[in-house]
Amino acid sequence: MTSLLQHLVTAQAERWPDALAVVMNQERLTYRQLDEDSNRLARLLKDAGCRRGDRVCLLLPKSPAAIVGILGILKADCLYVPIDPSSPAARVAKIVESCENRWILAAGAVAPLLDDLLAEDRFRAALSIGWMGPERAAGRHFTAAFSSEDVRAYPPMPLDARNVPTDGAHILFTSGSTGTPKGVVITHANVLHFVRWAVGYFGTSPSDRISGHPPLHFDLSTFDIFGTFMAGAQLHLVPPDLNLLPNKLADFIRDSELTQWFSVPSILNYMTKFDAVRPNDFPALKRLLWCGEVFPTPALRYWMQRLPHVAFTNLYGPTETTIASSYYTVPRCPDEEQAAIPIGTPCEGEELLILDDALRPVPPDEVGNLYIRGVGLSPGYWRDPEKTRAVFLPNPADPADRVYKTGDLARIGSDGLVYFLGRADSQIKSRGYRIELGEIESALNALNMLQECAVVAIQTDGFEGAAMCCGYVPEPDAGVTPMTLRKALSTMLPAYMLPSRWMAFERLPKNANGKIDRRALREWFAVPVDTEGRAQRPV
Amino acid sequence: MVESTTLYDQIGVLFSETLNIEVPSTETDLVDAGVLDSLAFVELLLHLERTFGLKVSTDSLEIDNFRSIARIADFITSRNGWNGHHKM
Repeated sequence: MTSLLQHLVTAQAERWPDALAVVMNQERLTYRQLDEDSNRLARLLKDAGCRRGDRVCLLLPKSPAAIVGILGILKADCLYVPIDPSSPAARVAKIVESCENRWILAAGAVAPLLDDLLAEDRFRAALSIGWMGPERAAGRHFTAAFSSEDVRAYPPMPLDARNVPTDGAHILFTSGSTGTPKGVVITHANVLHFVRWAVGYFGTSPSDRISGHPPLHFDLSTFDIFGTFMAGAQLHLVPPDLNLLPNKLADFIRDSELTQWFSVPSILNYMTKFDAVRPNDFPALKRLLWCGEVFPTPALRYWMQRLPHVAFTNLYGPTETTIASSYYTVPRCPDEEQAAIPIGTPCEGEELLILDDALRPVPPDEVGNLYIRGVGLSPGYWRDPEKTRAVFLPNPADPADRVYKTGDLARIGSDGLVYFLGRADSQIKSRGYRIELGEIESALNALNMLQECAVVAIQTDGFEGAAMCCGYVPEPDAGVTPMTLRKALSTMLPAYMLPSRWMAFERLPKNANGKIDRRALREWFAVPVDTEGRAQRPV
Repeated sequence: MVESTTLYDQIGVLFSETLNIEVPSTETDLVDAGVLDSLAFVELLLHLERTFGLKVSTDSLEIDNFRSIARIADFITSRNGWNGHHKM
């Protein structure tokens, strides 16, 4: 049985070399091409000094070349670290600093970002750039050491793997409350276990045409990629520029004859808002899966009413427990708009525990903290034993085992299914992204433009989910406006972490202990918006 | 082109004061600059409808009409026969 992720492709290339593996726009890669191109890249990386356990960053848009990059890195016995190519340089610097990688594989419009990053001597001295495009790119501060043309010169024969299933396959960086992103290490065995279960449960086969919607720095992408390769199916990467165009996304699902769609609910909500789905649309579609946040029941009903031929499955799980830990296939369209959709039952090899503060199980129907144990658990955060110890705890029932504290609140219903009830802390989900509001506040404080600030999330009426709102007290005479703040913040945080609403205060609301009263602050932002779009402030 | 300069200004104000987004010029590509993601886009459509009475259906939703302040102005003009008097 395959025990390393890269071997999934090799196995399919032996069986059906000419079957399509990856499709995007006009680009197509067969299993043989994917296997051989990644062998070549692995040989080059090993020639360049990459060794088992080294980290290699990927800074490029989702593309067939990026998939070759992922497999080449794994075949060189290394871990891939996907970085959002639209991140500001300051955030990329934090990730690179933490990974201590020597190579960045890059492509697309990232030359300005690389120039910003490599303007610093220490990065220029430590980092080499490999270009996953035909010509060696260069900027003011870098010249790529190789291009995909140079990769072609290497022989396509397979390499002997030196890595083992418990080795890390990738590190995914997520928002950290203290202002530094934290890296979740995920092993080959972690991913293979989930994917093996999922391919079995969903009956994925070589005839499947699977969407690749999430960006590569998002852990859901690992299911699309490795689930497709385990089944010998086709991965259809969804061009990110379609995300603004609900009707074009619907065209894509239709024209690509997708059989499986998997995304965060926000994009499904967005398509609902623009009524982009026709009755009995997408005749080839067999299943629609979502993960990462709550799919509002009104939008789910919209989809289920239009697509009676499709199975709808809710997947739940944080990055730390690998893609998903529980599932629930909705048996029929809910009658009521308020119906709660459970996160369901554990996937094979996983267990969901609902415990009180003393780590004792709570009775059915009572709210508790949700813990997860099982084969999906990450070994921990990259080079951060303190953060790892804080959330990966000894299992109270078996000290040799570990449980992961999700920070989610949940209950087990009388139907035996688990229901998600919200967060126990200030982490929020926005468009599927996990955001620590504390990280935004840390970045704002570092700007030296504000005396104090607080970021809160409020639920909006529409389909957008949580809106991030910042209340702030400006430094006098600093010329602070929401626009200047937003602009300064965008040099430190990715766009999805920028608050959308801002309000200046003479002082922030405080409670009796002198702490910022976040509930009061939320009320300031939650007031109705008038016809001009301005908040009616409470008096 | 006094008229469209005014329209440019009004759209610019919408970006700076309502969406809190700085747009360097009326030709700046809002998608390439990372200004427009789906959240901002929905909000932009909402405010364009409120301020200029511009209604956009799913079928006529073409990103090219919203790529820059200049394109948005052209689109409003073509759709509304804009006469310089918008809803306040």
